[in-house]
Amino acid sequence: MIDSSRLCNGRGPSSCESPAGTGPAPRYCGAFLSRLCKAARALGVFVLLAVLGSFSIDALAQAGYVHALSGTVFARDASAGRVLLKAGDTFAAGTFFDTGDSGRVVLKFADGQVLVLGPNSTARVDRYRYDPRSIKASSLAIGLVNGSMRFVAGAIAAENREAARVSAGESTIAILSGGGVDFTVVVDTRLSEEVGVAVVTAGEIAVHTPYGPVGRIEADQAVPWRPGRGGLPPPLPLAATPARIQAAVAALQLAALPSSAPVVVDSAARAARAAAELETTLAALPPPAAGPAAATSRFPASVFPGMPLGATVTPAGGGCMGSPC
Amino acid sequence: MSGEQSSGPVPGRANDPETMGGSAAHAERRRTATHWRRAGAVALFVVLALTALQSARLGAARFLASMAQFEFERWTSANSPVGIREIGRVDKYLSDSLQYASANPWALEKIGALELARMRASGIPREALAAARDARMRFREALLQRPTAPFLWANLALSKLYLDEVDEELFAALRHAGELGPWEPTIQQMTVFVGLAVWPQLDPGLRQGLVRTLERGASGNADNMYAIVKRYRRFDLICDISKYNYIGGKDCSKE
Repeated sequence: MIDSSRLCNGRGPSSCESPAGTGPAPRYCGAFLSRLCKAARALGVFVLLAVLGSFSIDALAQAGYVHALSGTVFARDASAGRVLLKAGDTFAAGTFFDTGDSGRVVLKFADGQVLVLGPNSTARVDRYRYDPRSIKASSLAIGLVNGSMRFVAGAIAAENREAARVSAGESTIAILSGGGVDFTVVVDTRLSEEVGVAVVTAGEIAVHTPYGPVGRIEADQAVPWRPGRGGLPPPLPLAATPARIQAAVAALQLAALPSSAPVVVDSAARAARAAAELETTLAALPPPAAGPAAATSRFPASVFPGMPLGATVTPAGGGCMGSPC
Repeated sequence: MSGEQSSGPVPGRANDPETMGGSAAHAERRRTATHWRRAGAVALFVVLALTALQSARLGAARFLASMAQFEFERWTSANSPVGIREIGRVDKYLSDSLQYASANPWALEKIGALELARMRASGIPREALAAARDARMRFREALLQRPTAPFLWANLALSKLYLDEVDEELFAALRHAGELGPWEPTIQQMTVFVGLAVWPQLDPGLRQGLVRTLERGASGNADNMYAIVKRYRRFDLICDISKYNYIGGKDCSKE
């Protein structure tokens, strides 16, 4: 029987020798054995590369993970079909996300970018390529098909903003400020003509809508777009926009966001999964132990200085009751 | 004899049917009058009781509205975010107040203001829209009784802005608020805030009115007015007003 460990000890065909080193080399230790040893070595290298390669491809394919979610959220891609998401799941470029009536999901990408989708929203990650050693070579393309989405820039959008492409319906969004941007876009494409709004929390963006471009939207400003209003209105403070827009934006602002620092997707996903499990455990505790969340909630800051509610009433009212004043 | 005649019954006349009939009628009249007097007294008592009851109800309604007003003023003086529990307590005061006096304009106004606050806190578009609609309804109801209240007009304009109802009613509300409370700092802020949001749709008269409000606000309320103008990036409206120079000089020079 051939003891291959002794025949091919890593020194090539010349290592073929008699088992005890005493007699002449056996007949089988000729050109054939040499080729066999080469082939075995090549096969080993191939297998090793294949294993390493599969790991690295997997690592590249993981664009990000689900940091947190509530309600029903589905992901779908070409390979896995439609899957119900849970915290800690990872995803690759080419994935679509669908949220249900009460669904909301916080996605975090490897470069630290955070995406929050509100209820009844559909978004897709068209392209995502992140190389921490070369941000110039990194790029992303994300599209909101319908619904609401908050975008918080990570390393790619902050350092190489031209490489970040974000769209909402038929509108496209350009990031104008380097160093980070935080904006929310709401779009309804189910109507015959698109209706939408872009709201900036930090940084500056420009939007090209089907009804014309908006050159610059700064922090705390919003621009709605819709057909048939004689061009786009100038940017407004968010607090002056209609109630449904404020509510849609507030739904995404209320979500607790992770930091926008780059992460290793696998380990961050595991941490998110553990955090979700802990949250589930805490939620199962009786209210006194978990604490009454609603009692500590606060209304948002006022629109007007000196008016905590954002609206006010006649001062020192209460007089002339029952008669017209 | 005459004494007997005068003091006792006269036998000859006692059985006289005419005399008997007159006496009965007299007694009947007296009884009827007594009944009427009693009925009047009862009616008066009922009226007085109802008046007392109504006064008590109005008093209770006013007391509860005053409690809510006290909370509003406390919030304003603290100038810090308001908790949901506090909002709920004030809401209870006001809904109780409306149970005693359903058209109490003060309670209606405050409920409208609370609805606007709820709208701003909501993360559900349908819910926010419903809150803004309810606020508009409350302000309209209150205005039926207090049409000269500038705060009600300003709040009506604000609720219509949130409903995206930029129409004649909003313009009229802005106009009335400005006319009825031209020197009231809060009214100045609210009218400028709403007015700048709908500036492209305003007629020249309303635009001039807003500019005059900014001029008035420059004396005594300049910081707050400037903060609102800054949010709209409408420095062009204040840069010609010298009283704003010390605050907005830098922004005006950029313009």
